[in-house]
Amino acid sequence: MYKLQNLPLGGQDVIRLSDNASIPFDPANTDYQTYLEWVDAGNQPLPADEVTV
Amino acid sequence: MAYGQVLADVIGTSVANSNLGAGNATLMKNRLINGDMYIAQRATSATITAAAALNYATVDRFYGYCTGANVTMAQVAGSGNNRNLLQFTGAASVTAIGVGQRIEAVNSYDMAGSTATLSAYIANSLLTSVTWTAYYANTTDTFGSLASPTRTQIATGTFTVTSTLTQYNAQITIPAAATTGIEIVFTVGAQTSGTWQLGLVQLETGSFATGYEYNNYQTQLANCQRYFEIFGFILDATNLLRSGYYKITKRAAPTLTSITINAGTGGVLTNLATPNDVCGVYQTTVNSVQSNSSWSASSEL
Repeated sequence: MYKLQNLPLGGQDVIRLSDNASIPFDPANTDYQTYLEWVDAGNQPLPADEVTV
Repeated sequence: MAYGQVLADVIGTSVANSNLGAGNATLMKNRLINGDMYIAQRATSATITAAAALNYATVDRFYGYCTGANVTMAQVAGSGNNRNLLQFTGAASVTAIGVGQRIEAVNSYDMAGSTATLSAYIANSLLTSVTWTAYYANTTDTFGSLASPTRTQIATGTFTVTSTLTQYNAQITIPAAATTGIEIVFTVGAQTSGTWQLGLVQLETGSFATGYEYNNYQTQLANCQRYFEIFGFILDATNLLRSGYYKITKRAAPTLTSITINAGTGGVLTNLATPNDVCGVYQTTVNSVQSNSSWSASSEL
């Protein structure tokens, strides 16, 4: 299971909820590739919370 | 007096395991990192869960996987030139174990179209057959997952092994298309008991297995930290956007995972945005109190 995260400096990444790992949206990151496979399988991440700085 | 020229694939010396290599890479010839299993930043022993995924759990750069039942993957003491070995301990119902390393294209590009030699010290107290397989990535540095690999097989073969640690080698014809990164995998079948050990694993250009290329410890650690490192960070309870930098620039923007937060909870780090995405981190969620913390940054292939 994953949850999107809005970043204070703009943009997003995704949190892997099993270990709270922060996964960047970098096509070369293998955890991001695994996340994309998960999405392609029909899953959807939880929405991001609002960010206040 | 004019000097002559010596053309040789291998130059021997009087010191055991100290031959010079072949091709253009007589120095820094081993394309595998941590082949002597010295560096283990994550742990020295871990349980590998059956049929889950490639598991980078113990010695750096080498992943393990298994099917049928869980196995133990551990860095253990060796003997002689093998200071450390990577060891799998079998268990009832295990049907297969695999261990491998994926080599970045930038570190293997020049091997395309040449002959390479794979060598390793191997022992198995139960099984007598160890299969090696070489692949190249279908697209640069993208080998896919265990369940959905995106790679092309280059060659495969079998070493007939015993319970005595012995060096084995095989020659591999690397195709011209293999400019996208190379993966080496060793597999065994039903390791239902006993142990399987590997050490001094080397992939080099040329038709002969030459002496293992030992690195000094700090160089080898830095080579491993391109793919994984553990770093410290002081989380803050009120201010966001505190930043820090990695010890070594990462291969790609890494995944950040909390190892320990000494006091309080909630602190979250995120990779710095491009164009500095491989250089550092910043805090994106405050911690409940100011605290030391340790994190891992992983950009394994």
